[in-house]
This record gives sequence, C-alpha cells and structure tokens, in this order.
Amino acid sequence: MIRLKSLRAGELRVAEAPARLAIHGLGSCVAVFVYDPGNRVGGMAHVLLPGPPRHPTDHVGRYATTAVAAMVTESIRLGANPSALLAKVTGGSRMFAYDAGKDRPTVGDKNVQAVQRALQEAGIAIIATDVGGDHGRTVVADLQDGSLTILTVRGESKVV
Amino acid sequence: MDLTRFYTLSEAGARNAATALSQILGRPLRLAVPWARVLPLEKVKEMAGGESRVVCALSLKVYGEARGNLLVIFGREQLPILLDMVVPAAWAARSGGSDGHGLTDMERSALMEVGNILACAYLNAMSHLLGVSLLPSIPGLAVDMLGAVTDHLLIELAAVSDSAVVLASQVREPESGLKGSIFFLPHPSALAILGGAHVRPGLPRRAGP
Repeated sequence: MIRLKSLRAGELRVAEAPARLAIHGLGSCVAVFVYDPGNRVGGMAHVLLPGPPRHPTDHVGRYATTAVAAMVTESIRLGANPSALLAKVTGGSRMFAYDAGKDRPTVGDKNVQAVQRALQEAGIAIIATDVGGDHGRTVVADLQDGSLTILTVRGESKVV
Repeated sequence: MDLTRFYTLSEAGARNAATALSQILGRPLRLAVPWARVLPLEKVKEMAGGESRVVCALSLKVYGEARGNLLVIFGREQLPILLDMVVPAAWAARSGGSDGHGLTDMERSALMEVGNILACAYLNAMSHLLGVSLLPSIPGLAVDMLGAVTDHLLIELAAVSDSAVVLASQVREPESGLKGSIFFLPHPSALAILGGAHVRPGLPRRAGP
C-alpha cells in the first residue's frame, strides 16, 4: 500500500518506503527531507523558525535545529544508517514584496541558512536545493526512490 | 479567552470594509457572519479553504498600539470578476483571461488598492471602537497557494505562541458572486488591548453617507 502523509506547519514525520510525505503550499517555511537511500527510510519536516527554541519544546518540527536532530534520531530508529543520510532542502520563498529590503535576509532566507547549518553540523550532505523565489511550492518526498517533487501554481514541476 | 469583544471588533471592521468597497464599486455588498476563534497554529492554514487553494492574497502588516497582520483573500477564480469591477475598461480591452500570473501593472495596482481600502476601512472601525491607533502597511500581493501566503503569519506567531486568535469575515456581492474574506491575526502582545479594552457603546456606525 502506498501511503501519502501530509505535513502541517511545524510537523515532522519519518517513514519508510513506499510511503510519501507531502507539504502543500510551502511559502517562506522550509521543507527538509532527510533519507537513507539504501534502507529507504527517512523523514521530512515543515520548519517554521531557525531555532534553537528558547525552552525545551514538544514542537521539534518547528525549528531547524531540533527538526534535523529529531529526524536523524527517528530515522536511525527506523533502520537508517546515520552515515548514509542525505538531505534535500526546499522552500524559503519571499511571498510578499514588503517582507524585507532587497539586501536584507528574509525570514525565508534565515530559515534556509539555519537548516543548512543544522545539516552541516549533523554531517549530512545536501544533495539538492531549490530555495527562494517569490512563489509557493507543493513538495512530495518519496521514500521509495528518494525523489523530491516540487510543484508550483505556475504549472512548473521538477523532480530533484 | 472571552471572544465576544473580538467578535464585535471583527463585525465592526468587516461592516465598514463592506461599506467602503460597496461605495467604490457602486454595488450593494453583503456581509457574511463574522467569526473570531482561537486556533492552534497548525490549523490556521485551514481557515480559508485549505493549503492548496489558489488565492489572490493581499497581506498587510498592522502597526500602532495593537500590532498584527491582515490578510484579504479572493479565490483565483474571482479575479476576472474583481478586475472587471475595478478596472473595467482595461479589463475589457484585454484579450484572454487572467489566471493571476499574467497580471498587468495596472491590475496589480488596482488589486492592491482594493486591499488598501478594505484594510483601512476595517482598521478604522476597530480603531474607533478601541480608541487606539491601527495603521496598515502598504499591501503585498501574491497569487498562490493559501498555505504559501499564510506561512509568514505562522512564522511570526510561532516565535511567541502555540495558538492564534483569528478574526474572520466575508463580504459578498450577490449579483456577480464576488466573495472576499478578511482575516485579522492580532499579535499576542495586542490581545490585551483588543480583548480587554472598553468598547464604546453605540458604535460603530456605517461609514459614509
């Protein structure tokens, strides 16, 4: 049975093939997909904030720092080999022109940077990135083949 | 949390916004029953038809004594109706429809003006009731998925709260079927002012003649 799970803002899920994880309408938030291609397990998080949180939190998926850490732990629990983990990162758009001055980093930029930093610290290579822009994305992560499909309302579609 | 006052504010704001838009369009507008709710953050995106719904969104920051965010939303399918009303000559001269991505500068600016008018009327009524200043930023415009145009609201709130107070209302133009929704999400720091402040009796009245 092929399962498709949709993640809400701040949510994190881990799964194994043939599951797919989706986020509909990603804007300035960031989707982080971490997976082990050999064991075909991994997870995705719908990150809202760079983090780390000021207090210990139940909402680990909300922050870049805690989301990456939790995905690694949970994926290993599902049978992932920690040294085989790879990551794909998307989102971080600037949806409205007033969001910031042209040179100042937007909330989206900060989220992307925080996710990249957290992945680097966890020793996970980022093998695909599709971030920024002024458009929303719907993303579907497939644990079967490790693909990340990105769709926009302009009809663009790409698989990374 | 007692939401009665939020409901009163929501209704006052929406009525004033409907009056303003009605006068500009020269058509009567109806006001659907407004609501005020406390929603867990992860449910906020479901408030206007779900994350995947494609909308024309006008987003304004609210500054002043009570901060927050305003979002004015029309379904993408409503764009031809709305543009035909606000820029009829330019719209009629245009060949082919618009799915929102090929908007001309004039259309974008007309839509932003609609957002501005609705927001100013909405905030004015609230400001009048509360006796505090509520100042809108210039609107940002995006035609995209509802999930994408509401991320910034969640990001702002998630830093300080697990829930959101949402004031919602809808205006409708019965003849054309035009429908627009207004959402006001006060910043948690503004909740005391909005929820606890004395509401002046006998107000609001309709704006204009």
